[in-house]
Amino acid sequence: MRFGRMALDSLISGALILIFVLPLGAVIQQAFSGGWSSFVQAVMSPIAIRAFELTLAISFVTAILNTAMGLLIAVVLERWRPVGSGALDAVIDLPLAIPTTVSGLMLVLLYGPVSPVGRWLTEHGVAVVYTRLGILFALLFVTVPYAVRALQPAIQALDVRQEEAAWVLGASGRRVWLKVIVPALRHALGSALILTFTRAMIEFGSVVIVSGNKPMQTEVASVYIYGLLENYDQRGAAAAAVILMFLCALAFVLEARLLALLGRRRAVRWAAAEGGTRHV
Amino acid sequence: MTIEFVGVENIYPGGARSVRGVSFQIREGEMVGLLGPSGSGKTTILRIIAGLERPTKGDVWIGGKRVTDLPPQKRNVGLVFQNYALFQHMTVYDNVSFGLREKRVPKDEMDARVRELLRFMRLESYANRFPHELSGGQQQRVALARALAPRPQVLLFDEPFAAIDTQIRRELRTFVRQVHDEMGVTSVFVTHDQEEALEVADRVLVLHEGNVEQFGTPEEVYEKPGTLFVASFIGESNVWTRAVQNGRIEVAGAALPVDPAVSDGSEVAVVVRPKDVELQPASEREAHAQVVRSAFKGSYSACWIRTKDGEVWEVHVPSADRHRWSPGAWVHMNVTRWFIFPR
Repeated sequence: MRFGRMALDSLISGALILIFVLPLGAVIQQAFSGGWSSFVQAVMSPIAIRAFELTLAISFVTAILNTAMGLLIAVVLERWRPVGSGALDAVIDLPLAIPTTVSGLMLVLLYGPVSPVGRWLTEHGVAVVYTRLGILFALLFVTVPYAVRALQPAIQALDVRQEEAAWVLGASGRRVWLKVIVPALRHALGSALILTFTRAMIEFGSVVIVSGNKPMQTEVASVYIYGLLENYDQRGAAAAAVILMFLCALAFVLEARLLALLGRRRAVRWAAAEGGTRHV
Repeated sequence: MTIEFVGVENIYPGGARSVRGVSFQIREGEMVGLLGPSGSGKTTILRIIAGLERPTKGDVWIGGKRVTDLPPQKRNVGLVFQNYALFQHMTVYDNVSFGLREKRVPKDEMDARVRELLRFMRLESYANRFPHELSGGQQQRVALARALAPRPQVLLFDEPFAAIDTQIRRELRTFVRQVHDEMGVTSVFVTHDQEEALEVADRVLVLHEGNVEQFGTPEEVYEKPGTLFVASFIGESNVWTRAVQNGRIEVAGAALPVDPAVSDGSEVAVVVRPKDVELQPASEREAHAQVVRSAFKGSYSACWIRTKDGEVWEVHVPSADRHRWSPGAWVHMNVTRWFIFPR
């Protein structure tokens, strides 16, 4: 029994080391193989900085828009349940089920200059493909399931009686949303925001097709790393990868800190109510 | 404030009728219990009063004003839910002040009202706590304070004590009745617990399958049940079916008279409360029945006796006499009070 448990532990540890720790270690080792100054030089080049700025900005906008969109879709699916909501529920997972390059291709075919939609948009001064708008569309498409699926269970778990209590106490529909529903969903909204943000940060397949990859203009971090690899600059690619991973990890840490802070504020207020005698 | 229902009917989208043409009037300052089994329509009636459900037919009046189409925000009612429905992200203070904030009551006035209610509910030291840090009884008192804060005309309770353990439940019942009396509001509460309804309410509205079976004082519905359902639902009872013969029915060896309007041969239901049967020791030959089981219940003991026809009756005897009615004893039955209803 004990031997079996040890064997299982070893198997899991071995697998984790093989598929997670070693590749991560390889990237970090490669990133710093030329020393600290070489690492800084690689990640501080104007093209790299612009790629990271663009990635952060566009991921942030994607996260905000898709969290709002995810909330709306989750409410429709869980509360209003109109005819066809079953089909909508299934379609939400489509971006997860198809290769992201296909997602990019779909956008190019729809909004490209040869398609009727693309032509019409171009005539009206709106270019989607090979622009930042195209990148945003691709990221919105790819990350929407993360927002919806993060919010759906929280909306399901909402206590409708709390909303009814608020109505009876005189709150309008808008006030019920602001004062009762949104605060009750704050953890799920935080998760949706972080999940879509980090997923947008690391997206490659759809963006590489839609963005046109113009350095300093439409090149995001993941595509920038790919470009360095294509030019046999493994050390530069590894350095940029380390920064990208660090930013994603930072987002998760910030989310955890924020949730812990909310919890601690609660505990502090409780302690104040107790006359400050409770240790928190 | 008076509450009046006139021919109120409620049909759910699937076609199920939860309330069927119900009419009744609740007097100002009265505390009324809506009593009935699950699915009887009691919660729907409460939600219609609150404005959370709109009746399919009929009208609702509160304080002489027709409110059928008025949204819940404009009805000035207070509602206490079974699960309290407290806002989990708000402190006790914020929960209680919620309705006052929504009504834009000036800050000083709001603060004074909240503190007054917290004092009244014995919750002063819990003002900064969150609901999950309180016991069930405390949460119930917060819900009550929150409902009372905007000075509602009508106070509604949806199974207010269902989620609370027995001891606290008794205290809260008394407390809620005290709150009702001191605040001078009209109160309506839903319950499926008849003991609760009889103890707390001035009048009880007994509901069954969306219809009003009887509306009367606790004494009336217990002592003078209007229908077979009320007789069998309120209090304990023995219910038997008998055929009328020569204007009488035979129950435990006695021939009981039946309303002359009931024709011979038709079947009626006879309801006898366990306390309305007297037992006397008898020889096996003369006895009506034999004791099969007895149970001590405090001030009285319950005996289950099997008649020679095979019917098993529940009879309540003083606990001091229970040794006389041990299992196996032969007894003579004397039914002192009964109710007869058409089948």
